[in-house]
Amino acid sequence: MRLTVEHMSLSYEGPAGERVTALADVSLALSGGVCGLMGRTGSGKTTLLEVMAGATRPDSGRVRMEGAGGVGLVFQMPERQFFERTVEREITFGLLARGVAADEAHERAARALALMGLTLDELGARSPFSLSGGQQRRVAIASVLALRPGLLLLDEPTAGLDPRARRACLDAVRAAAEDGATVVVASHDANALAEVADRLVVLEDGGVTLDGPARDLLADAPLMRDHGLEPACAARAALALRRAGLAVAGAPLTAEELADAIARGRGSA
Amino acid sequence: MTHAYAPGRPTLRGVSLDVAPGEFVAVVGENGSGKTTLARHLNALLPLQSGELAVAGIDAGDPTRVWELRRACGMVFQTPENQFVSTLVGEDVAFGPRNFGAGEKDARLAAVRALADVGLAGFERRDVHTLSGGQQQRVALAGVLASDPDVLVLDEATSMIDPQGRDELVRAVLRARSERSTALVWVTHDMELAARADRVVVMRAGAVAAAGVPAEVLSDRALLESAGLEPPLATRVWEGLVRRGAACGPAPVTVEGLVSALCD
Repeated sequence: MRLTVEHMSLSYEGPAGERVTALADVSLALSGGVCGLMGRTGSGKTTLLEVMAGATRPDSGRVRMEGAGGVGLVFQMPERQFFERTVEREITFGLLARGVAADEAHERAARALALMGLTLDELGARSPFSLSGGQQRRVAIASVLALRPGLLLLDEPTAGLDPRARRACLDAVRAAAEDGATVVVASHDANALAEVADRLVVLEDGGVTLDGPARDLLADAPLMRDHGLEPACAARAALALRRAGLAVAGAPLTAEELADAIARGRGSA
Repeated sequence: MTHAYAPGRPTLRGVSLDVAPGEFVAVVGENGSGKTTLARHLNALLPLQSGELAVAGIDAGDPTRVWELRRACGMVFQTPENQFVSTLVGEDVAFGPRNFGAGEKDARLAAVRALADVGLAGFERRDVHTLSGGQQQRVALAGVLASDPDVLVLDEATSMIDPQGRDELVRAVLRARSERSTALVWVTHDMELAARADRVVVMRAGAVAAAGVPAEVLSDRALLESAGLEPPLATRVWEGLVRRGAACGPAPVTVEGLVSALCD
């Protein structure tokens, strides 16, 4: 799906009656791939996702969507929105509401849950409220993936997840993009975005202040810090090593890349 | 200690653990490994089913001492907004000591002191809902510190706040620990944080799989993988260097350790 956001602005009334700017003239065009959305708390990430999903109406500007599949929005802590008695009913609810036949809904629920590293055979009949936190998050994301949205929006999907659940979540995000969906992931987790994002957009005070290839931006620790963001762990370590006088080649983003950069630096020394 | 929410499906299976006064113990493990159940027991939020538990010398099995135990052991949870009893910061922080029997003036003084300790001096009249997530978590921390606990339990207290808020909270907790000699039991998925603890406890399927200093526990990939975890970045980088023949010897677990191992 192709998504175009044009001159989007939104403000609301703050606790002391003042105007708070949530979005200030944001324009973006997305078509396929995974776009990471970073910014400090209160920078407008969640509002932008809600506006993209059509869940919040902006004061001015417009959103255009071209392509099939509709929008799937995974809210922050989506597991808090569970309401069904079983995991299967929870995941198939949206499909059945859209008129998908029961057999096909079951099939799609099973596939979506498998993408998240869980099985419907094992969990389908259980209450979603009886699952562990990591399982709940994955069931909640699966319920949106099952709809196969053309535009998939996720708000802090990895917050609070253990490594296994996090891995499954990031793999599913990649898989959705490879299936043709346009994906936007709002996150504070530079390490997660380093693994899945093609493009990175940074918001500050409701406006776009950085927009470019995710790799280049996330690996630039000083640039990230200048924008009040935490760089990827490996980029931070590379900076610390360089400051200590060690030759670290390139712009490593993962532990493996950093090991490689150090080994090459040592070889040439 | 053993605990089961449903018959025949124990969440904790024979856990034994000893935390010294002033010690910082990180508890790591995958979702569902029993970390939160263990943490809730320390604050007597769950009834003791079998085994023994004493917190600051108070027997958790003695129903007449539950309040005393809860004063001695403070808890900070994952989501800040679920922990407030008042919308005013000062009122919220004074609630703890007042609830445990302090007079009005003492409760207020304790609140002022605790807020200063977490870097929020002068926030007494602010509305908790206008604060950032990191500030809210520090208000929750102050609410616990105001009762001057011997033990502080943090359950995933940094996972829902942004990196800046996380750093602020970590600094405030470590300062409180060094100034008050509070023992810390910190449940976390953050291996970089666990690497800063005195001791790391690895939970696996409701049991303690290993406990030891971070340098030993966090560099043991096989152990961590069996518990659904992975080593911290510095250890993973070191493993990569060893594979390339560019390093040898024990793996560091912190970035500082990696820097000194490579630059010395």
